[in-house]
Amino acid sequence: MSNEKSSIVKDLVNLPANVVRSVFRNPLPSSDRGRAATSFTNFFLHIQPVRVSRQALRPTYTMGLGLISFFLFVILTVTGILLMFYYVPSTTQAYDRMLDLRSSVAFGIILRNMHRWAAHAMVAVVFLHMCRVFLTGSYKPPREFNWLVGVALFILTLFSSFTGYLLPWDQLAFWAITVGTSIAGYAPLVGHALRFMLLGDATVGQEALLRFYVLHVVVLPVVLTLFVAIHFWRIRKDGGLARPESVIQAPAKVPVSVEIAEQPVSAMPMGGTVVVAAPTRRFTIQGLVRGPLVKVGKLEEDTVFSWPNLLIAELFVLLLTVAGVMAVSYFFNAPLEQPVNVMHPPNPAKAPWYFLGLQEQVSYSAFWGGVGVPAIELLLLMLVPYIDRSKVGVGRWFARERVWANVLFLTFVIINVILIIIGTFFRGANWQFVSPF
Amino acid sequence: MCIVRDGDKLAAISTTCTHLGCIVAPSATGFACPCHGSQFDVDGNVTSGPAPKPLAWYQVSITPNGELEIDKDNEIQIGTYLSV
Repeated sequence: MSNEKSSIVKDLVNLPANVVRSVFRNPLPSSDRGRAATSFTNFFLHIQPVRVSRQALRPTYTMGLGLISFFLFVILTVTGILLMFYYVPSTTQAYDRMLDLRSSVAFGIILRNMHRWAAHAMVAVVFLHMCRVFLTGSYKPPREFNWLVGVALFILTLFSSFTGYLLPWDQLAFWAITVGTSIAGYAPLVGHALRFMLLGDATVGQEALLRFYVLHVVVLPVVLTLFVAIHFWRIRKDGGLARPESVIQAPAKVPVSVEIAEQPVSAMPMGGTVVVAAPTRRFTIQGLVRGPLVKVGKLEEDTVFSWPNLLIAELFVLLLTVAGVMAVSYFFNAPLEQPVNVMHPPNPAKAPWYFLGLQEQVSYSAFWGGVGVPAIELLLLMLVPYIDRSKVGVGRWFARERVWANVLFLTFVIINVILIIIGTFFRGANWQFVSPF
Repeated sequence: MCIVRDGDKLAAISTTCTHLGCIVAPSATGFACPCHGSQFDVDGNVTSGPAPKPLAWYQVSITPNGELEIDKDNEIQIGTYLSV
């Protein structure tokens, strides 16, 4: 009885420690074995490899652009959920709710500013990330599929930002829906059906707002999250970030058979005393892997442990991203135009900067600028890794062997940047050409 | 919608741009669209810009109690006025 009691008392005394130990299963690692264990016993850390190449950690190689995109998405999710507490997708209430955020909601202004500026930043950073991947040749086999996922993520980012700036139901929102759904109407065959499906009505109104709201807060974020998960998973499956060919050694021979030495487990009488052999482990083949993943018996050179090297780098990028968004949100207020006036679009009626290239394009031709050319551009982007199959110049910025591919890609980038600059600075009232000088 | 009066003749011209649906505004030479720069003459014919079609003219009539009625489902030939 007393024995039992003392054990309960002991358990109670140890309770806090036991709880902590069950949550944080590893002490802070002090050995390599511990560093490895930390990586694969923690749900969040196990997404990353135990070891990571030094190249992948070099800030000048990735510039952290993929990570920044992801952290911006996290910021957008958090601030977006908070904004949902204050927003009503109603044409009569939405605009007032924006004013409430400014005047009566605690930290409402900073919340909305962070959401808006993080969205603008995400469009830019996702695009820059795509440029990084292209200019370092990182889309080449076996990473073709992940390039496709990346292009899909870029499009999803654009749609998310588009559906987002419709929600305040200000002049920008109303005319952006009007123009955006009209462009959809120019799509061949499905155009009219698509336009009606987006608007839920013959004209822009309550149904359209509700649809774009659901797209913005449920459909697009869920699809985006799924694609982000696939994107990350594929990075691991494709052997981490792309590295220069000179760094990658010839893969070690893949062991085709594993010999399992069996040791008899038995109690052996030895000189009168009974020695119980330590339980031997049985090894079985749990699965087979192939491709660049096979690392059996071979530690890749020039790698370091993810804990703490990668983790510190990631936390640094996270801190920088959050600080950057907060700083911009502190100094600059998110734009809010006049309440909707269905008779008078602003003059000129301009989209946010990232769509001004598109707006410039449609000012020449609605079909070619809004549907034809973007579709061709998108198709070419997606085909990039299937057209360029050579494996040279991977993992290096501006590799000489890839000079023509890079020149072509940069031409595409520069044309779009020029279109955006024209749309931003050289277009005035009635979209007429004006000089900003 | 823009009601045009020419002497004792009336017509109703749509102010919805045939390009991407913005509302055009009267300008010195007719109508101008603030979104993508389409220009129309006073009859709604495209003079410049990306608009693919002229502005629509709608059937106008006078109701028995003297009100002007515009039938937006009934597009008519450009230059068709209602004499009053």
